[in-house]
This record gives sequence, C-alpha cells and structure tokens, in this order.
Amino acid sequence: MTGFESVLDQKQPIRLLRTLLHKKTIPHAFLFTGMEGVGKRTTAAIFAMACNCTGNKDENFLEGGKVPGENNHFKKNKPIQKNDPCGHCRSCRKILSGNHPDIIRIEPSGPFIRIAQIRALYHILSMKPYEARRRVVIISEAQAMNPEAGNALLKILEEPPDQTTLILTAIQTSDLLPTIVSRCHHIRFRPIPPKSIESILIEKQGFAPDAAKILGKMANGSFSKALSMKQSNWVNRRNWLMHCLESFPSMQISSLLAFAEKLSRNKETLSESLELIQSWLRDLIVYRYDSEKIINNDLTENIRQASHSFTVQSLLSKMDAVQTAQKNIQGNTNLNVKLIMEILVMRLADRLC
Amino acid sequence: MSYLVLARKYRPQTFSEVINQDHVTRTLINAISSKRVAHAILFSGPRGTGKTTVARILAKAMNCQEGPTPIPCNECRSCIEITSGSSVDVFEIDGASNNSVDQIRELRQNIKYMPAHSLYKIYIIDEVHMLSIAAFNALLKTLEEPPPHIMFVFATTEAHKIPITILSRCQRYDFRRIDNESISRHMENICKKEGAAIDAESLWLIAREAGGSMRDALSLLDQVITSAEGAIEQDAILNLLGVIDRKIIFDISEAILRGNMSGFLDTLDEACRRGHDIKKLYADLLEQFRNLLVVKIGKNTGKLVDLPAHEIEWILDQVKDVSSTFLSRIFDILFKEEAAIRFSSQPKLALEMAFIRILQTQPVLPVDMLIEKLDRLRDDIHNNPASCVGAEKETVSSGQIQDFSGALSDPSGTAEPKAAFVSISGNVDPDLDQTWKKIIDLVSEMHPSLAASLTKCSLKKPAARNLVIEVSGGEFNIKVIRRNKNIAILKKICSKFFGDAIDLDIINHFDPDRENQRKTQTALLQQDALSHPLVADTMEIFNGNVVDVKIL
Repeated sequence: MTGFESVLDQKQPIRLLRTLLHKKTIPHAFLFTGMEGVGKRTTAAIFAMACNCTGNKDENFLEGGKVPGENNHFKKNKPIQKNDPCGHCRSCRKILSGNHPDIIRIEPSGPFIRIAQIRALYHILSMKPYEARRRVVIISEAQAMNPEAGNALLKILEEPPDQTTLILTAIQTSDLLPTIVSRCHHIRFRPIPPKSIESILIEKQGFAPDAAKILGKMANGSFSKALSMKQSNWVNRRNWLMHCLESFPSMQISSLLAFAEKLSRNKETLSESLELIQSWLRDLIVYRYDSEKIINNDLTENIRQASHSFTVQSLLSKMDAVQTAQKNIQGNTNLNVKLIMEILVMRLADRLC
Repeated sequence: MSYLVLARKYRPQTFSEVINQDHVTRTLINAISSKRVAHAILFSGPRGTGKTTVARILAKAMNCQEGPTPIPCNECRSCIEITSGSSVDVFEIDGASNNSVDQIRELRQNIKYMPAHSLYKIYIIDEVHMLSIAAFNALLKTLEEPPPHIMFVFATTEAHKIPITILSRCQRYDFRRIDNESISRHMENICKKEGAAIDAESLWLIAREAGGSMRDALSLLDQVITSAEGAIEQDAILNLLGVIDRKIIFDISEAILRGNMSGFLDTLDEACRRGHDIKKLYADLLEQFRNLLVVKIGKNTGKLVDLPAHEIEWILDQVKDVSSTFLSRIFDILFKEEAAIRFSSQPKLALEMAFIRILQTQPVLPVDMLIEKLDRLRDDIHNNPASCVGAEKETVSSGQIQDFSGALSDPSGTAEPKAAFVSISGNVDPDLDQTWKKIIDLVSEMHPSLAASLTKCSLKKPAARNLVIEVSGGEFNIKVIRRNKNIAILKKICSKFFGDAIDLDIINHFDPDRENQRKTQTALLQQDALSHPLVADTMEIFNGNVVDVKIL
C-alpha cells in the first residue's frame, strides 16, 4: 500500500484527488462516501502521504511557490502521477505505520464519536503542526458522530486553521447532518465490481475459483466484507442456513426452537444470519419475476424448488418479520434476543399467525 | 495563504453583497442608520443562506472606526481584525462545542469589562441551538439587560430548539432559501472572476442540486472547477455531483407502472453499480411518483411540477393509461416503506421489496366507479320497493328476494333459508333468534321449567315443516327436552306459532373448540409425562424406552 494505484477500481475518485494535488487546490474538508470496504480510509491515508511526501522530487511541492506549468516534472507524460507519494521517505513511512504526529485519526469509541473527541481535536488544531506541511485529520465513520459531536465539528469544518485538511468518511450522505455535508468537498466511491473482487481473491488470497465467485457476488462490492466472509467460514454457514430454511415446513416445533437458539447464541454472526435469511427470501420472490437476478445463483435449483411452495404475499410478510426482528435487535431496546429469534423462526415456519 | 474554497473566498463583506436576503439586510441597515439596533439578535434559517456572514458584517458595521455605519469600510483596524477573526472585541463562539453552563458563566464574568478599542463588545454565538438548557437559562438575565456596550448575535439552523424565553428576548431574523436563479446568477459572476467557463445550463443544474443553499452551490461549483481537466462538460458534472440520471428515474417508474419486474431490477442494479446513494434514489423516486400524480390530476401542472417541458411530456406519456388511484396507492406504499429503507442495513433489498409490494397490489377500481355501481343498485331497489319494505308485512316470493341478494353479488348461504323461512308465515320475524325468543316466551307462560332449559338452545335452519333445535349446555338439558311430554308441548306451541303442523328435530350441540381442547390437553399431558425428569432418568438408567402413555 504505497500509491494511489493500490486502491482498487476507484479510478474516478483517484483521478479527482490527483487533479487536486496537481492543481494545488486542496480544499479544507473532504467527505468520502461509499460502501464499507471500498478503500475510503486507505485512500485518505494515501492522500495524506501525498500531501506530505518529502521523497518527491519537487522540493517546492505544495508550498505554492511555483506555477505547475513551469516545472520540469510536470511536462512529462503523466504529470499528474508525479504527485503520488513515494512510500519510502520518512514522512510516508510514518504515516504508513500510523506514527505521524500530524495525521490525526478519529474513530468511534464504542458506538459513537463523542464530543470529547471533537474537543480534543480542537485543542490539537489550535497549535501549529509539528512537522507536516499539511496536517490531515481523518474522521472515519463520520455517521457515528452523535448530534453534539457533529454540531461541535461544524465550525472547525467550515474554517479550519491554515494548512489543515479534514477528511470524513461515511457510507451515505443521508446519514450525516446536512450542515456537515454542505461544508465538504464530496467524493463518491463506487462499489467494487464482483469480477474484480473475484480476481483479486483468486490471485492474492489463493481462493478456489468457484468460492471466489460466490464471495465476489455476495460481498456487494465491498472487498473487506469479502475477506471477513472468508474468515467466518461464510459459505458453509450460508449453506447450512438455507438448508434449514428449506426444511422448515417438515420440522418439529422443538427443532425449530433449537434452530432459533442456535442462531441467537452466536451474537457476532446474528445480524449476518438475518441478512442471509433476507437474501434468501428476496431470491425466492425475485425468482418468480426474473430467474437471472437472484443473488445466491449457485443455489438456483434449490431456490426454484422452494419458490413454488410459497405465495409472494406470505414471503413478503416473512420479510417483514425479519425486518422487525432486525429492528428489535439493533434498536438497543434490551429485548431478549432468544425470544425475538424464536418468534421470528415461528413466523418463518408459518407456525404463528 | 493556502487555497481557499470559493465559499470562503467569496464570503460577502458588506450588506449589499449578501444575496437574496433583502428583508434582513434592509432592516439591519435601517436599524443601524437610525441607531435602533437591538442588543440581542437571532439569525435563523437553512444552511448556507448567510447567517454567519451577516452576523460578521453586522459586527463590522457596529464597530467600524467611523462609528456604527451601514457600510463598513473594511479598511480600518476593527474591520480587518473581524475579517481575519482575530478581533479582541468580537467573540465568535462555537455554541456547539462550548455548550455547557460553565462556559456561559465565564462569558458572564467577562461582559462587565469594557471593549478594548471599539464601541461595542460583540458576542456571536454560532450553532446556538446546541447550548444546554442550563446554559440557556444562565444566559437569560444577561440577555435581557446587558450592559450598554454589549451586543449578542445568535445564529442557528434550528430555531425550534431554542427555549421560548430566549426567543422572546431576541430580535429574530429568518433567512430564506435562495432561489435557483439567484444562485446561478451569483455563480456566473464568480465563474467570471475565476476565469472558468461553465455554461448556464450546468450552473442551473448545480443550483438545483444545492437546494437553496449558497454554500452547497459554491462547494459543488468548486468541485466542478477544480476537478475538471480542460473543458467542463455537462456529463462530467452529472457524474461528479452524483446526480441521478433522470433516465434511471423514468425507467424505474415506467417499469413499475407496466409491472415489468425484471426491467426494474436491471435498472436498480445499474444505479447501484454507479455508486448512487439508495436513499437518495428513493427520495427521487418518491418525488417522481408525486410528479406523476400531479400531472395525472392535471391542474396547474406547470406551476406545481418543477420540470423542463420535455420531461412533462414524458410523464404524460407514462400516466396515459394509469388511474390516479393506482398512482396514489404506489405513493402510499412507497411512503410507508420509508422507515424500512432508511434504517435498513441493506437499503437496496428494502427498496426492491417495496416495489414488489407495489406489483402485488393490482390496479383497483376507482372509488367513483364503485359509488356509481352502488348508486345503480340503490336505484334498482327503489324501483322495486316491495323487496325491501314489504318483507315484514307481506308474503314475499322468494324469487324476488333472491334477485335482491343476487344484485348485491353476494349469493351467500344465509339469504336462501331466510327466504324460505319467511314464506312459511306472515307473523315471523326474519331473525332466527327473535323467533326463538318469541317461542320461549310462549312456552314460559305455561311451562316455566321447560323454558329455562330452552333458553340454552337455539334454532337452526328451519326447513319448511321441520324445526331443528340445537341444544347446548350439557347432557342434562337434552334429556329434559327429549322427554315425550316436553316434546309434545313444544310441538303444540310451535304449530300454534307457525300456524302449521311442525316436526321437531332435536340435536346435541357439538363444540369443536372443546373437543380440540380436550385432544391437545391429552397430548400435553402425554408430553409432560414423557419429559418428566424422573421418567427421563429412569429411561437412562435402565436403558429403556416408553411403549405407551395411559391417561388415568
């Protein structure tokens, strides 16, 4: 991970950033949006490196001393890439290892980014940077800022001190305060196409081609999700889950309850399991309209069989049941997870009206 | 000095530069020139409409070396200091990060000191809505009667969060959203100064995307100018701003109205691949269906639908053969799904489900058509009044009544026996229960004990000459009624009542609920016995298995 080229399939955002570096018109606040695991944070770090790289041949880089057109380096073939970080100068290595004193990273502590963190940021920013030419503040998962923190950030986001850039990352602009979005230079990151996830999984991680194909499709364009799916033995889980769902009609009540218990016991994978159930239900519904569009398309045969044993109405009401369960679990309402899952499983198996 | 974004670079420095907030600036200018400036002023309004800017200009105007003047010179020490944010007499406080009561106490400590070198000591509290309740209350006394050298200026986007007691002590100025035309005109000026060539249509596009906020518009313009290499084209702008292509929106609404699911899924996939925000897409679709509905209703379209003419044409084409009821149903369902889409971890999936739900609801008959049908039905009945009014007094041929029930398109089983029953005799109430009550009354005159048993029975489906009496309430009752003596009495009374010889058929009431309950109870008992720990232990110790469970 040294240059912009290490970020996958984000040609447009990177071209934008390179242009900005090249023109030396770096705004004081960026907002990177895109799905989780498409390289927002990596790009932010690389951008910080590019701003501060001393290994770059152009000594006056970013000091605003020279007009770019007059500089020899910019007359070469790909002038824009001259601004890429070298990756082995002092500053670059510090940033890479996360030791740079002027690259400030703010992450949620617990579920939120709290106002204390923003106040601490104010304190740091009120002083001059130690060594950086451009101080970079990376606030990841900005949607996690609670209202107080978000509002507290507003003033500094509008007019930060000299030579400081704030980079916020978030999934969607709609999760942020509109007053924050309006102060930032917004750059959208796209989901990574399944094909490139697939090929990287095969090349760099040594995956079997068919497993890579499923993961590529199921990761929804997020590379880190694909990796974590691999680690949690995701494919087997999915197959087991779908098998259980298919055999629901013939299962005893007691084994249904056992299934619910099994799901609820594993808190880490619970939300993932619910998403899987949703995707299964979705496929059953979508299969009736267009058999090409299903997500789990390695299990087409099973889905074809199952989709005929339910009406769309009942599938939709099951989908509602999953949604309700998700809401109850995420809603921090202190509900008994096992009970929620039992009710959900009963609903899915049509044993509860 | 490092690069400044356009929104900061072109921040207005005098009242006359402020765009489209004349109602505020004119009032302030007049107040300054007539020396009637209030000591506490609140600016509220949407983001990017100039609240902080006007607050700063006001501070400059009040503290300018030439004395309070509507046109600050921007040259004197005070003006320059305020512009650079280093003035000792103008405090710009971030209300959101200094929101506790302690900070307000500190502020109160300091206000008693005179300004250093200007006329006024001015406190600008931005984002004032984030102050805590305690902080607001601590400010109340000072805000009402500050020393003569003090001025407070508050700015907020959310005036409704401010306590009413604070509001009543301030002069409040509401900023308006800036209309698209003013925004694009202002951007045109800036483009000229910056030497960037952008055509008017693109500017208008940016203005529309900004939603009435000048800062949004300038941020977007900044992005467009800085990121463009060479000429600035409209496609590039669309792409850069993440504006969802109108074609995608229209394709989706087309697919929904035509019930083309796979077309819809295709388009949605495409939108996702381009990295569009699903929630934004949802909002746009909601607006699209609103527009479809408004165009369909078709009054004052030009004013209500803010779209170019060719798009209205397009909409007209789409709604040609769709009823407005169907459209508003779609709108309803989309609206209901809002929470699901907004809070879902997989918004795409939620959106798909919303549309499948829509496809599930077939176009329904419009209400006016239903009313028309009902009207026609009523007319039928009026033309033939015997069928409804005469039922009680006259003998009505069952044919007519069936006609009536046929007209209701509800040929249910209840109508038929009733018709037959009515034809038996004139003095019979159509309701079975009523009839049965009358009979019981007759019985109770002579045989009160029998009547008591009969109250627990009910009349079932009387055929022409055969009454079926269902007895509920246990074995005792049925035994009492089945006694020959009692049956004879009943027959006599019924014959008298209906004016005809009548056969009686007495049946026992079968209660399916109770039967089921008994069965499940048995099953439960068996289950209980099987799962009893003692039994389980026994089975385990002796390695046996249960052959049968008998209930004692």
